[in-house]
Amino acid sequence: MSIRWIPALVCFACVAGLFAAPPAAASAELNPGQVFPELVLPSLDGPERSIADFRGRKIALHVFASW
Amino acid sequence: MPGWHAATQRFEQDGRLLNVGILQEQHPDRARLFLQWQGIDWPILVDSLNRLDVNVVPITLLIDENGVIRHRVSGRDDFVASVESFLAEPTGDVPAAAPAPDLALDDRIGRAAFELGVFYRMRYDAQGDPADFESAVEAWGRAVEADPNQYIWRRRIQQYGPRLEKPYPFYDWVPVARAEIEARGETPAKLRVEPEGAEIAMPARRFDAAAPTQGEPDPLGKVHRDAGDLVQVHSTVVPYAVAAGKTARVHLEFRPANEDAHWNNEAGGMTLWIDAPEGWGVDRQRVERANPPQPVSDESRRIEFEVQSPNDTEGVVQLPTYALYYVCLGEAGACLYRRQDIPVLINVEP
Repeated sequence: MSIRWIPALVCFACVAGLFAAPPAAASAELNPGQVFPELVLPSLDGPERSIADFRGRKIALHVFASW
Repeated sequence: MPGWHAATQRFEQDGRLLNVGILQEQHPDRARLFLQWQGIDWPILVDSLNRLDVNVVPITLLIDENGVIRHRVSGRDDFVASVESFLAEPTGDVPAAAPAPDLALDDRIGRAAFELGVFYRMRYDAQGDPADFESAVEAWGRAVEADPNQYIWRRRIQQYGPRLEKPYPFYDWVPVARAEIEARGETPAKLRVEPEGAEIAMPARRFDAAAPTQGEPDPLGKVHRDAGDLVQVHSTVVPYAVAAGKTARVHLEFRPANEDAHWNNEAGGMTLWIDAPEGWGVDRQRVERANPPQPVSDESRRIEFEVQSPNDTEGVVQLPTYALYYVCLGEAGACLYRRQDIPVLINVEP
């Protein structure tokens, strides 16, 4: 990542935080202690997959957009 | 998310951690370019419809071997320390399945409208009918009306909306990414639809009133009219209904009306004139659009501009505009210079 983009991405996170709904309104199903939803989705370069396909490993799951 | 990539790599290399992404974006091809640029090769699931039902990005979750969410890492947390501590934890118990949430009717309507908008926009990208783009904007407008706090839904409209509504630009990173990928000797991933107009416009702090420009191109109305037989025009206003005193972005899409008609690029560019009614602001009154390099072409062309409605207006307001362009008919057919009057209808809410 270029140096130029680091402030942009940092700002991205801060602005995203500003515009986020208050924590109480955050998705109820994504709180610690709950099983992650067994949602089947298309993958970027291949067949449909679910996060459940990765059971047995510790995962860092990043929900993101390029903007 | 991207800033954490380097931080997670060492955990990944020793096999203790797997990074996975879920993409909340209309255009997966743009994400592919972004990931190539950032050197990210995680498995990526595409959730354009937001079936995950998140209302913010980015979100980072640490999930254990049983699929149980153990931590939600916020931007304020020390990410590396959070992962270190997570990796040291023993696998916990699996909780009983939580019952599915009982959705209120407004939530159901909002979600259905959002998904409908995504499908319309997908069909627009595949087939190019501008009415589908307008339907997408309308559906997303209904979704945000049902839940004004749904940030992911709101972002879809902002993507095409006025600059004042944007917290930050969407796809201005694309040229930077391409240049850096090429400098590495790689070929940048191709995009299905090139971001343009609102998608690459920088946010504005205040409405930019029209700068002095050249005068009106056809003040006496002498140029012969095209009633839409040669070129079809479709206007989409974002947002679908604009509040009084607020700004909207108008997208005009021009397409040759039949197989015979095509653009004559050698003769000159396209000009749009916007005749804002009393009390209305417009960011550009006269817009000049350059032609592609080839002598003839038949692509769809877009011109965007922004308007600001007066405080004391409501109902449907007609904004008179007209376009001037060079168009030809058939291989050896006549080439014409034509004017098309385009009344843009803007729906103003009190």
